[in-house]
Amino acid sequence: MKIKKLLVLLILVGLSVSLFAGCRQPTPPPVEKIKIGLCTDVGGRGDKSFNDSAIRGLENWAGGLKYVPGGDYQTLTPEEYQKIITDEAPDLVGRGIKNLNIQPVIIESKANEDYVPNLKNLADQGCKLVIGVGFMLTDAMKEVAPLYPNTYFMLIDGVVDPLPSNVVCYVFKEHEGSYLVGALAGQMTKTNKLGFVGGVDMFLINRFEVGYRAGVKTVNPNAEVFTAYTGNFTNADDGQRLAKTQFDLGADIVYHASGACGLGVIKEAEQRGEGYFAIGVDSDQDYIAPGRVLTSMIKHVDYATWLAINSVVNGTFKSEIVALGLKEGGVGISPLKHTKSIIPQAALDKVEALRKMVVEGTLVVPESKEQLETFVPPQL
Amino acid sequence: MNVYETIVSFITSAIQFGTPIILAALGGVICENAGVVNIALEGMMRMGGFFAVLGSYITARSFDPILGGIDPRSGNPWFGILLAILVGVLVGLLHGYISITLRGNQIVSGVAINVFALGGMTFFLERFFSTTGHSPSVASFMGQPLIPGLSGVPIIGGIFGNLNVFNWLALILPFVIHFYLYHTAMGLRHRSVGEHPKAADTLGVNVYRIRYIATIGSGILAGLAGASMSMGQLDLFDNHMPSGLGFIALAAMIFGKWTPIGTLFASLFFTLASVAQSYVQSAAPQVLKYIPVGFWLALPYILTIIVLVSFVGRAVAPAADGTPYEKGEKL
Repeated sequence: MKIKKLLVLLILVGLSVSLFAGCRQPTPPPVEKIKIGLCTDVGGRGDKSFNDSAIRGLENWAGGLKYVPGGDYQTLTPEEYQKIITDEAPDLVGRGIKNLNIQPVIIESKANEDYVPNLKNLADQGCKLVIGVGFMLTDAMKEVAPLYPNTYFMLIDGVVDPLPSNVVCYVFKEHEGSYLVGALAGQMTKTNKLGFVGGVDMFLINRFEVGYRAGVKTVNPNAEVFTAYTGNFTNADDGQRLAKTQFDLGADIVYHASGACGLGVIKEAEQRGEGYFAIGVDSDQDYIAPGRVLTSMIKHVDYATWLAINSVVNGTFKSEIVALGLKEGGVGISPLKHTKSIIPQAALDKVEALRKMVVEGTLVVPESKEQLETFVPPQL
Repeated sequence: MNVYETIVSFITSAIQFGTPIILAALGGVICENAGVVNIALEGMMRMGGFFAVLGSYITARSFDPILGGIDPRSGNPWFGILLAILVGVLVGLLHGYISITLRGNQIVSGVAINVFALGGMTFFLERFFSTTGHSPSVASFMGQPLIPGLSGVPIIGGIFGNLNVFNWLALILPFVIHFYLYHTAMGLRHRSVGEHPKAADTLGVNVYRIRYIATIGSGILAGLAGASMSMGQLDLFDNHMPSGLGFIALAAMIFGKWTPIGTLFASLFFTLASVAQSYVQSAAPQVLKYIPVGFWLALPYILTIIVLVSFVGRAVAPAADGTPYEKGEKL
């Protein structure tokens, strides 16, 4: 009897195992691609700013892939690939951006507590490089990177201190980009009064203000610049109130470096219409109010992402802090899709001349308030 | 800028940026005067703000050849307001059902609605607009004065000429609700339900019905407050909305001692302090050398505390505020 029972049990087990025989993973692609992981901050995919830019650098530029809603990828044809680069980053054409044929793995964070497990998850999946988007991931990066000595890590817009030997940090010289938009705004103002709305009053955001002021000072020494900080990066209401105040005080162009508060700044300029402008930040925000956003100071997070992936693919990865400025193509001004027709060519030429001076190194843009006080504008 | 322009700038800012706070706080006043605590104002505003934009968006019909699709700005903003009100009614009903019929904890119900609004609207934003940032621009009341003819009138033209429909509502509704609460029989019943539901019940007042009316009215007002942010001040829904304004509205309601007109002035006072802060930062940067920015950012809150403790006196909530009522319950 006992043997019979055992036999039945064995047959049962054998049958149930065979049930799953058809459920093997689909066969992997013939050529094993290098896996690159990316962990977004709480903004996630679709934030139209930092995260989207980094994802673009990973999927489109480095992976040569197009994301199809639902979680699938489509391979881009060479023509499509070229068009994406020329459309999204005309200022980066000629910097050798090419398809690196990697396989992207993206995890979106829903809360600040997700960063550590998400980074670990990506490293466990065998990603060669794990990218953390935004300074909010700094602490998580510091905690996770030493646990995975064989994985490379990249942090965007933040610095891990002390720097582990497998981490690279990419930061941006925002003051250089702000300098150019300041130079453009200084020439475009009719009232000789300009505004700046910042997020939190700290060194990182002060850099935007200082660069902007230096730009205005260079082209229009008589112009006055009103400055105010909202104290947060989330409340559009606060940004709008400060912009209204500055417009009421006589400003006609307001530059913002205040995250989502900036929506209020841009919309306030749109409501006032003719003669009033806002200037966007981080990504190309010209589309939010076509014609009323003079330009945007772009941080090329996409390019930084591509650069880091490129270094891993080529085996030239180095643990360091990389600061991308105008020269390196990390910052720049938007392609002026909606405002090109109203900006005089002379003004654009002047901005271009200043850009060249910064790139060549003959002009050093101040980045702190102390440096601004001793800043001597170049002669044009 | 001369004195007149400065005054106009201050007053228009106070009205424009006070509008969502006033409307939401009025929602609180209505609700709490009938004895139901409503800390769900924040969540209700968020839902109203999103669905107002969605309502305007789904009525868009005209084709835009440049976009290669429907032009989102061609919709009907009034339908947006309608949808915001409708959602307000539904959420008000839900809050009412939990706290009146089920006699649940009103704070818990409020928190649940806030949490749902936070995640739910992000989900809808992704579902309808496939983004977690902000919706596209839609047809709205942004920069659309309700009575544009007023801007030609001397003295008051500068102030009233640019007010949109939400601003007018925020200025008029406090007086309407004041009249309702203190000068109509229905208003007397409304307040009696908040003060002593048992007594009201013995006199034949339908406590449950009045409380339901109060929570639904509160949902509508908070929904309108949200719509005033996404369709009045801006023409899109940003995922951070309303970033805490619902809680400031609650504070304004307490500051205004649970009265509609007191709440109006409390909201305006609070907003004026924020406007003053904007002026100091922008126009008088030399002051910041002595008093840092952080202090000015906290100014509205500091002033509120000072006024609250020194001038307003004891803020007393309606006696039955927050306690569910059970018919036939022994006292």
